[in-house]
Amino acid sequence: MEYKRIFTGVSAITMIATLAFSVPLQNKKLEESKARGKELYGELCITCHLGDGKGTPGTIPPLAKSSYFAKNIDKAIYAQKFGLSEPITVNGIKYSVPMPAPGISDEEIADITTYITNSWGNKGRLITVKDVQRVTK
Amino acid sequence: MIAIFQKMGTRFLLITLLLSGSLTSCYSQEKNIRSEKLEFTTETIETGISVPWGMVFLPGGDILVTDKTGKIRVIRDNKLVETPIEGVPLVYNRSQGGLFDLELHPDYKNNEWIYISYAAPDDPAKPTGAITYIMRAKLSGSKLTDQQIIFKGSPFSKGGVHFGGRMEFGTDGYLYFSIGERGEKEKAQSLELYNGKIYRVKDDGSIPADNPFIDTPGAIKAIYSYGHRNPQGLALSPFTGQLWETEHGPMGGDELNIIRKGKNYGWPKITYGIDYDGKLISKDSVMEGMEQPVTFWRPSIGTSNLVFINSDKYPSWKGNILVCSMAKQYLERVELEGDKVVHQEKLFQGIGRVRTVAVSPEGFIYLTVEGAGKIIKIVPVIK
Repeated sequence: MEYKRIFTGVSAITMIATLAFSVPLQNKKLEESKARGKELYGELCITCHLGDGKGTPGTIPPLAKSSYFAKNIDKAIYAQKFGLSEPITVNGIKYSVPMPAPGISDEEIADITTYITNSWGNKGRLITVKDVQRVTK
Repeated sequence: MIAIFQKMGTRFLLITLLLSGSLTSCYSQEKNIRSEKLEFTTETIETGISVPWGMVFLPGGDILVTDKTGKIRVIRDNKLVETPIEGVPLVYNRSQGGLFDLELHPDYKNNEWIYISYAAPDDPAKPTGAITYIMRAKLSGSKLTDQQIIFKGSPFSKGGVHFGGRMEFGTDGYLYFSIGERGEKEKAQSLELYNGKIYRVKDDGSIPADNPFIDTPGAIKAIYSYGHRNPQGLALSPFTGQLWETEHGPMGGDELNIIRKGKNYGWPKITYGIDYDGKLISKDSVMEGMEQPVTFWRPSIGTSNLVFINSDKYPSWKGNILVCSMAKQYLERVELEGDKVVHQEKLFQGIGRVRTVAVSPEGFIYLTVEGAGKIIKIVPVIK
């Protein structure tokens, strides 16, 4: 009886602790992924899309507040996985410069996508390798 | 039934069109273009090579083009030959890394050496990093043979940026080529590191006895000049024999340089650009003992290769240079008076990322454009 009470008590504490910690844990994962993504962005994306994610209107589409992947993050993942060769429209402006696939791993695509969807006013979630694997040609 | 048949017919036609578009390259001639000093037309081959990095003309009329992802392709009679060349080195196809330039030996007719620059992976099966290598080989049918790696940069590093990779033979018969600073800018200033240099070697990779740092303790003996960021363009002036260079700079700091023996071109101690995140790289753009560019581009045009025009096909452009703009998507014609830039004209505005430009043995200008992999020949209109 006494054991049971202690057990219930412990599990309740565990549950509360788990709940209390899981949000920060998720945030921690997001922050870590974002930090790795920022590093990769500086290596692979920044020369065209620039440090503020604004690109160059008419030539290089913005990633900051972009209508292109705002509702469907898979489109941002697709571009990194396979490149883009067809013209796209972003925030009402047409872009026709092709983007070659950077030839990077799914982990790296996940981190870059986490970074771009959580920067420059973009509000997104943690993008995982599973999200990247889901996107196919 | 008829409706279904018609529908199928349309679909069949569509599929046929799609297939013919993707399987064979297409060739077209375009209407006349009036530029400042020349009226010309163009002939275009669409190869589908998304990044046609380098190009060379074989004596028989074939054009060899590199596909950055790691293939060498043949253009014969205005068509892309379906099968790529075999025996090409494995490359590190990450971001800017991959297969770069091609160059023929000045005595190609007798010795058949083709030079190939590329991002060599540390482990071909599971690459974790790369650095620029130079190989030479011979072409036998559609196969490379006698492959010899004549120069190895070092160390392998993971970053996908600034490999340099352009090659050009000098009037001295030596091979000049570039290696970028691989995203580690400070290293461009050290003579003991491979990053950010122009090199000069003999045709077999050995070191000429009069290289500038041959007696400098600890220096890499093949270095010809240093302090470079990412030189992706090298061209020999047919008028002065000097080596000219286009260097992909930081934001607002692309440069046109004349490469002089043993000189320091200043990166990152001096630059006209700032970092892509807006941060200052150096407050200085001039410093004692460091070379100044002939000109620089602000905003950046994203320079790739360049070429001098010395062809009777384009008398009004004689002595000019043409510079590829990737970021701003055009070909720039630059008029020179000696070592000074006196006029610039934008050609083919909005055409796409212009990757390389070359003059064929017959004297025609060819440029390559990324995306659809266009190879465009500039044909002057004679009236």
